Amino acid sequence: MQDVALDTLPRFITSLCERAYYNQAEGRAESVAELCLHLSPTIQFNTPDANAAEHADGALDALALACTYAVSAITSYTRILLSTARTHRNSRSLIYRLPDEVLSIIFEFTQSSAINPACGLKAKAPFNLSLVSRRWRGVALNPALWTVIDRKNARIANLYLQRSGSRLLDIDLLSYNQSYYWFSGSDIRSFAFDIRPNAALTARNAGRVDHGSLLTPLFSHIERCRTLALEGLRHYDVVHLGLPHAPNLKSLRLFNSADSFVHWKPLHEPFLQRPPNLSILELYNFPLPFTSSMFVGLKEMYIRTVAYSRRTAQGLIGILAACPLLEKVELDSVCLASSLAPTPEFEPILLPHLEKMALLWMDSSVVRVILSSVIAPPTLRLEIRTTDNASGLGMVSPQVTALPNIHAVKMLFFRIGPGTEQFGLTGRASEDGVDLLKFDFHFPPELAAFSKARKDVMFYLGQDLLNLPLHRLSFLQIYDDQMNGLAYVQTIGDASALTVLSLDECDAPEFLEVFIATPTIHLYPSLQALHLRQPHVRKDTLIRLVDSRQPQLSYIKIVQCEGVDEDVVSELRNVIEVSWEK
Amino acid sequence: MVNLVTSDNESFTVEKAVASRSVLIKNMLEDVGESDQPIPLPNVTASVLKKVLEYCDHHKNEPMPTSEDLAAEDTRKRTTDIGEWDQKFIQVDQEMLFEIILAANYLDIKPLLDVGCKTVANMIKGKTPEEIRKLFNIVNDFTPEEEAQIKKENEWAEDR
Repeated sequence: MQDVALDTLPRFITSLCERAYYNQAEGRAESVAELCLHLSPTIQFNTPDANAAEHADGALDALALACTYAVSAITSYTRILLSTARTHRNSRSLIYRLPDEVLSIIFEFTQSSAINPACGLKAKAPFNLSLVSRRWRGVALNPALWTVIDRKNARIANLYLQRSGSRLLDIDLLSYNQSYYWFSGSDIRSFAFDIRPNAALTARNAGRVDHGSLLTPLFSHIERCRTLALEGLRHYDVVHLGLPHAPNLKSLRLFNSADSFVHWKPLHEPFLQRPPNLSILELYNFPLPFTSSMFVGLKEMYIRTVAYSRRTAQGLIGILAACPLLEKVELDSVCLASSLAPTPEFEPILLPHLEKMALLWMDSSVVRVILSSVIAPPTLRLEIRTTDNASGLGMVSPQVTALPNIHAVKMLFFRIGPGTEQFGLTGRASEDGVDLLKFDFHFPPELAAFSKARKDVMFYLGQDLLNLPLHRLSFLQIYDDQMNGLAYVQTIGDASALTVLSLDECDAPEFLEVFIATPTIHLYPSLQALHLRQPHVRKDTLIRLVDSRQPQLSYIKIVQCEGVDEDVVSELRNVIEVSWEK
Repeated sequence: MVNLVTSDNESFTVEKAVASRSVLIKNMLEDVGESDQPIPLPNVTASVLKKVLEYCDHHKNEPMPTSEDLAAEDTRKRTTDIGEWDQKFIQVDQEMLFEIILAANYLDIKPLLDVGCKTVANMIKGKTPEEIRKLFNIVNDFTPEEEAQIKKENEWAEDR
């Protein structure tokens, strides 16, 4: 009977296909039932006459079984056939011309995007790539693409851990919200991760963070971890973090939540065992021991919003001294004990590789100690941002000439603003060079005498900058009431190497008055060019200035200058080259 | 000067510094030494080579990628930033884009290959599988069994 099934079914399927093609060609619609009526099979039972019915029953059973099997096989076959046909069709797509190795490069680039919160996991590489087609899936399952575990895919971390094989991992569980540190405690709860479905739901319903259930599976792969960034840690997590030894870990970033400042707790060592040889360390509200072997190989260190209530600047200096390879350091809102003992003389700290140092929102006395202790290359890019009163600034600014990069500064830009409560100073080595100095002073709102404070700043800076070989000075939006002629002279009055002076949007007739040479006052002997953009000047001042100029001063650029008209420009052009824009 | 002959038998005479942006051509030139013999490029058509040479000419004075650059490939692939000139250069239709990528791969011009691959990567980023299929004219060729298996693997992603 098997012969019947083997013979009949293929013939039937062939006839069925032919009929279907014929119908399609003729444009006829024929149901499957109608189609089968035309194809009634002829079955020959070659059985002996004796026990014919019994044989026929056996044959029927076999045929029924064969038909069931055939239906299943045909279904399966058609699915594969269609899939194969679609794969073949895809080979005609333009992008299918690219070989697998090029597709793989493209897929690796897709990982570079920062996480867009609006972008669901289904639209996130490599997850989306693995669902496009069979060929793309084959390329997308490259272990190299599954090594980044972030907030978006943390819930399917197991899949990533499995697909990444033995590759090194980058675990980055940050929120990617720029204002994360202003979050309230309740918002912090949204940082909860959990790769166990039920536990995640329970934790979410209970409104609590269950870091343990997230971290435990990840930490079992810690030996593969190359970078680790955790956000939303709370006090309990900080104290009990207990990271195991991570021999491949190069970058560690720990962000303790803003709802639990832990300055009153003992400083905590995050590693249970031997700390790894880190290159990058970033901490937010996560105080560390002042001495740790963790610091030795650091190239980048960022410490933000940490309160060491029982420590002084000396401890902080100790950390810097323990990082001889440092290239970038940022200390932001690091608070130390308020009652400082008189500043001791520290041993100089040699940081020969330091490229960038940012001291942000720190106490002026601490800034002063750091500035006077660190010896760095002249190419150092230094940024200081502070809210302080004038006396505090006085503690900072006298250190300016001691800065290692100050003599590389050839161009200085002073500005008030953008608000009237800010004063900025930028220094560069060349016109298109990077900023070597960025001082940004924010006066506290309760400080009544802004004007005096600003003059004090200029005075302090002026004392220090007096003998620098500056080639260009630029003032932006500085007015007489913010810096009078006397302060101006005190600030940059003896810049003997100055060749270009710019006054942008300055209400500064007094500046120009002091600039007029007299037998006793003779500023800027090397000045070659004067740039005035939207200044308020008196035209007689301008003419007297030009008349009394040194021979080197050969060019004035005047842009949108109130009070300057064609007559004035003509008069000036009789003695000097003038570029004028109305 | 170097003479390059494309698959459609068109000749291009270019400066050696321009042609040598291709590691393939650079190695060929080093192997054969000074010669007037044209270099056949059987995998590149004239229209594509013209674009490739435009890129090579613009970048001819830039340093070639060193072995250290290639060693840092992991880091390199983390960014898809493309320079302003390169962005304008690569604003072509899909067919030309893929042809440029293929040519850069064949001619071994890594920076150009990167520009092409980054461009495609930027087109893909943030798109669902359905959107990617539509963008590149691909059809879903998974069998129902494979789809069921994928769905089971990825059930966590379904509602996210």
